[in-house]
Amino acid sequence: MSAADQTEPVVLLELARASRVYGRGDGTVVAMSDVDVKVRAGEFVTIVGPSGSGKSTCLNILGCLDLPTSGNYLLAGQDMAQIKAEQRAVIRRDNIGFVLQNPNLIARMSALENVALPLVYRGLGRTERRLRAHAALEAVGLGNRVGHRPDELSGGQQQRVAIARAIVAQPRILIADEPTGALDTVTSAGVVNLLLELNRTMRLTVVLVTHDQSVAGRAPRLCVFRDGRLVSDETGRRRFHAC
Amino acid sequence: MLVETIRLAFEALGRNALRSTLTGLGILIGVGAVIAMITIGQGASQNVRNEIAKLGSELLTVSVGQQKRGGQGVSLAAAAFDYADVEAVRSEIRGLRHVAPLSSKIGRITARNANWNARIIGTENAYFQARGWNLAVGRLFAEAEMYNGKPVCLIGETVRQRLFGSGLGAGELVRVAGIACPVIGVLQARGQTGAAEDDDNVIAVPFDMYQRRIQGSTDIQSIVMAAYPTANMDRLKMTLSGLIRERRGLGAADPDDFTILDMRQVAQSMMAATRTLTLFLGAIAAVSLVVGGIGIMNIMLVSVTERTREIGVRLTIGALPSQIRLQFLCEAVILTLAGGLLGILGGLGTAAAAAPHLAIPFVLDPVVVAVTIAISTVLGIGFGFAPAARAASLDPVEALRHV
Repeated sequence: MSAADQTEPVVLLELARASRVYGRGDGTVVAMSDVDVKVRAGEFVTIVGPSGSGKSTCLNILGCLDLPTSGNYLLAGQDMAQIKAEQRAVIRRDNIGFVLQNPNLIARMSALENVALPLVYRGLGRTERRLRAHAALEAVGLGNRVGHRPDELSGGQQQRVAIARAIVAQPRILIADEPTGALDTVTSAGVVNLLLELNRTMRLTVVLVTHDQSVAGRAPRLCVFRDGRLVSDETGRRRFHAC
Repeated sequence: MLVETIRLAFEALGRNALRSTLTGLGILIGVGAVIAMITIGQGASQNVRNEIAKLGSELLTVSVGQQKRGGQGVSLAAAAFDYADVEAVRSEIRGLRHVAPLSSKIGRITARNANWNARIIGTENAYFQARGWNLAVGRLFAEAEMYNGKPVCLIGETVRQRLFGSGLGAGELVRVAGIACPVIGVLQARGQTGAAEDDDNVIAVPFDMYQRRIQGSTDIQSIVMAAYPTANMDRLKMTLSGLIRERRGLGAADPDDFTILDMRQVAQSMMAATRTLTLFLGAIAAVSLVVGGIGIMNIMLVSVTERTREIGVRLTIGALPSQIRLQFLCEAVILTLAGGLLGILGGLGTAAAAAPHLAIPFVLDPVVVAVTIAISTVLGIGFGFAPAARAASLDPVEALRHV
């Protein structure tokens, strides 16, 4: 780590008065309204809120899958609205890993092939892909399951494969949209532990959306959404008073 | 990356092997039909070219009488040519290599115990030279034989077969109109020329002898000429026509009472006709190719819809829209190219099998094959573009919600 990391980490993600409105004319729905948030490199941010509160919308924007209809979204200082879709896809590819509620593994491929898939789109050779995918599966504790197909793995294991796939290309940011939503409590805890560990050991910036109170309770920084607005953003010890 | 994309495309096509095969079959049939039609058409063109070459494309014939439109009828009122006309053409028209008088009639010829009906022609050696007609055995007329009425003859291949069977023919005697003529040579077989009459069923005697002893007059029915290949045929025909009109004393208002037949013109119109036919057949076949292309587009669209969720996953984990587009284009091109290559083989096979039945040569044109491969690729890109663009433009968030 360089000396710069010892001081204040850089702002990696920044939403400035960002809103997202769906539809036009009379039938508009405001999914997210005037959200200001900054995420620094290496942070672990958890977003909670009831259904329809705008947290997934916020996450899609942070993940460069969507754009705010007003306001700005800056990734590493670059305004995403100012660049073309293909360029945005490149930035997404090079910076962001996704873990979704459903692992979305490709059923006909082994765990290793699934994990190696993002590397195909980065133009890596076969041997390099296999090595990296192996390492990523080791990192999520599935080094002994590389040849298994998704249907031969448990739900928790599948989600670990999805996490391995999200980190295999060594992104700076991991976006996780309710990754424990389909898992039981014990398995959930394991997945969250894994994310916390990756955040700690790999200095991976994590933005996690969850419904799960037990998951939210362990978050170093908690953002609460309600009716499309960010109503609370607490870091460290102070946030327990907010909950 | 491209290798990987192609591998992925093959894998995707392989998962729906039957569907891919049937889709490719549409292209196979289309390409096969186009290739077969064009190859057969080219064979027909080649056939025409061969026949024209046999007749001699620099050949001009002036005949007595105006040919009636659409028929072979000749107005009998027109006077025949005489040898002075031949001499005049020979000395006054530039650009002619060979000029020969020609008179003929169908008559009975006999040899030993065989007899046969053949076209008896009276002409000079220049006639055979004009037509590029060589001897299989023997020699042409000697100078003396041409002008002293001495009875000798040259026979065509059909006549040789009919009268002498497996015999050589040369040195035998053939009686023409009761006159015994020694066979001094046998003409090379011309083969069928597409004309109604068999060119090889001919017996040629010296012009002088024909006039004196067979025809009994100095009339000449036609003058056969060969121009130099570099000659301007149109101008040549004009001066020729002018000369003959003048010699026949035709006034400015009088219509021609003779006909100039230009083999090059005939050749051109025949070539144009076969070319039109080839294009026409090719165009009909191309319709099936377009239908095949639409089949590809249809299946690719189905495939994009089926794989919406997978596309969403791929986009989310780092595939660029351009990479997704390339993958679907690749699948479409593989389908059309595979169908196209097999179609080329099928089409050429069909044309090769059909050629002998249609009595045309089988012409393998590498240009047509290359163009067809190019068209298959373009077709794949063309019809694959819309589905590929649709796949690439999918919103990853929406695509992931797709069930």
